[in-house]
Amino acid sequence: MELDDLKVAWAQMEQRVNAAESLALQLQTESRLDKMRRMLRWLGWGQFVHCLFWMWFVAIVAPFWIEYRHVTHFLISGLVLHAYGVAVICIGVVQLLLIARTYYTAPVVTFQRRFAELQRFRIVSGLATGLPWWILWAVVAIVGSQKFLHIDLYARSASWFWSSVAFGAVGIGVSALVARRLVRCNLAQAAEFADDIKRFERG
Amino acid sequence: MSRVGAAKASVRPLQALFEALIARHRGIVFKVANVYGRDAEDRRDLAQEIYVQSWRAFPSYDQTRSFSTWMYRVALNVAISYRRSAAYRERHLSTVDDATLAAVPDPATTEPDERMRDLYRVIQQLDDLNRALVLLYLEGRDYREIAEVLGITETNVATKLSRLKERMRRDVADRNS
Repeated sequence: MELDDLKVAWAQMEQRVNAAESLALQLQTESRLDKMRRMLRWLGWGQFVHCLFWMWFVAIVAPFWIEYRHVTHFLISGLVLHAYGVAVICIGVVQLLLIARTYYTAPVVTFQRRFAELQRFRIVSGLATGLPWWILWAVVAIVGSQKFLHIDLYARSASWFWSSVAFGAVGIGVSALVARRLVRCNLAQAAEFADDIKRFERG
Repeated sequence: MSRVGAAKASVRPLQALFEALIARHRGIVFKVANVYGRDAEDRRDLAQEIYVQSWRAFPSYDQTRSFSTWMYRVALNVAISYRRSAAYRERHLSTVDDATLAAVPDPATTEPDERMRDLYRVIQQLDDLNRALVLLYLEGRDYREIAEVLGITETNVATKLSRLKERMRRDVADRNS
């Protein structure tokens, strides 16, 4: 058996597949395209709203820590949230740039390499922005209560804040341990595929 | 005419062109879905995903260039990404090579079906990128177009195909011995 011999079998398979599946696929394509258009519209809005939210967040936090720069815990809380907001916006922009250059019409090897990079970035950035919320919620509570209710939660109960931070630190540790296995597995798969691509490119 | 009405009117000729081109090259979608999908449901999902992504990418298609090359790129990129997706891995936790081979039509020993089984066996043993290479080769695409679709050099295409042929000869020899 030679690879060339298989061309005949391939042509036969083509006929079978065309006969059996073309009608069913044709019937479903139109409704699927309509659904896809609706989905893309919502996805576009989702990204837009996501960006707007974090810009609004930074726009709220920046004047806050400037206004309360003489109160240490407000200054630090505000700066931490400001830095987090800017980081999330930057990660979002980088992700959008990575998505923008990962288009399906690129040559297969180029696309797959970029797709692997995007996957890797998503895994790492997802962890980097997700895990801090074990602690950040308490910081948000301090800033939010002062900003909107004029209640200084930290002055009322510093012990609550520090116990929340301690609990959050434990939470981050436990989550990191659990996530480590999953992430390592996903990252290893991404790295393995990146190696496959390199080997394939080299010939 | 309202802005929404104007937008819809501008999409219509594009959609008509897309549907006409897709109808002419429908075989590409079927064959890629058949080579990368593991069962009928998988193939159906994959084919639809290829249609969706093709339509999404269609505004970037340069009409002075070959549609089949463009279509192969989209279809293969979608198929390989689909196979690598978490959803796919969850659906196919077990190794399914045997199941796939069992699904090959008609286990009779007539020569055409034997060859079909051999074909599936060869394809299932390949990694995703080499599978794309073999698919394009079986389609009768020349080395230049294969290189263009995959993004590697023509020399690389020739080397890889030569190695694959050699590997197949060895596999056949091992099975016969």
